[in-house]
Amino acid sequence: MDLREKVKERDLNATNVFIASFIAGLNELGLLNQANVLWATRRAGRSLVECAKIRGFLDEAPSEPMERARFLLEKLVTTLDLAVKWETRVDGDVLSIKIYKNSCKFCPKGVGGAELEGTLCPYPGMMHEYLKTIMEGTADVELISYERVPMLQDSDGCTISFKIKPS
Amino acid sequence: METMEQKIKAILSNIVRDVEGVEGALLVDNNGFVLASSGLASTSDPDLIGGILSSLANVALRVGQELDAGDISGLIIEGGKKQVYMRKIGDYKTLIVIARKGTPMGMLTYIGRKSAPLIDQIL
Repeated sequence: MDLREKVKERDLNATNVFIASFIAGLNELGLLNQANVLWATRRAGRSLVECAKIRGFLDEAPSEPMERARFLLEKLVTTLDLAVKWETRVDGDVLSIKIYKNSCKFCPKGVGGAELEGTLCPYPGMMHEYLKTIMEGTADVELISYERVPMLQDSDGCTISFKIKPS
Repeated sequence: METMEQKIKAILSNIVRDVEGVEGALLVDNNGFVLASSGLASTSDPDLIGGILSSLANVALRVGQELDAGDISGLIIEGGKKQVYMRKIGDYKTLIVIARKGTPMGMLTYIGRKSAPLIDQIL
């Protein structure tokens, strides 16, 4: 599938294409890998907490820890318009977000065209730090890794999961 | 029965134990994730070190391609306090040895060359 088709299928705008291609370009030079992206996007996550505060998301959020985390994560995904089709799920103390295949708007591989074996996803680190910071004092948030990879990929798409432990 | 990670960790521990001046050794993959490590100071963040040094190894490969320098198998960093030796293992893994300044570089390259095929056999 060429980029033109992806733009239509994923409803991409120029910002999506720019950022996904930029990350892919840095990877092509050898400068970025998933571990670095995970680390660097934590900074973005912390900064996005300030945006959430200014926009009043915290005042709107439910007080129960898991529902609060879910609400704030959904607000983040909606505000940044990360994907066309996604859903959150709560299973016990685990909050997950699934981004369906051919739906992600910032995927360095799917949109940016990065050619690599592993992943280069900017979401796990950003979401984790955002939730960790915003839930401080309410719950501890742990990013779940699968053999070191911070997301689970299957034929349907990518799932990022967090353990939410009320503090 | 030893797992793959335990076997690799044993090789890394031997490097730290056997070579005077070596402070730590890691094996990272191309994603920057630390597959095994030994001897790193508790103040170090192995994930951050692994991610950055893996990138550095990948950048060196890219430089090698641009300069038509042939396959880049090893990389040396000399600092005021420490020195680092990196050696590619196959296409996807990198062995990293961190040593105090003054550790003979020949010894680091020797131990890297000797250990790389042993690790490669396990992977």
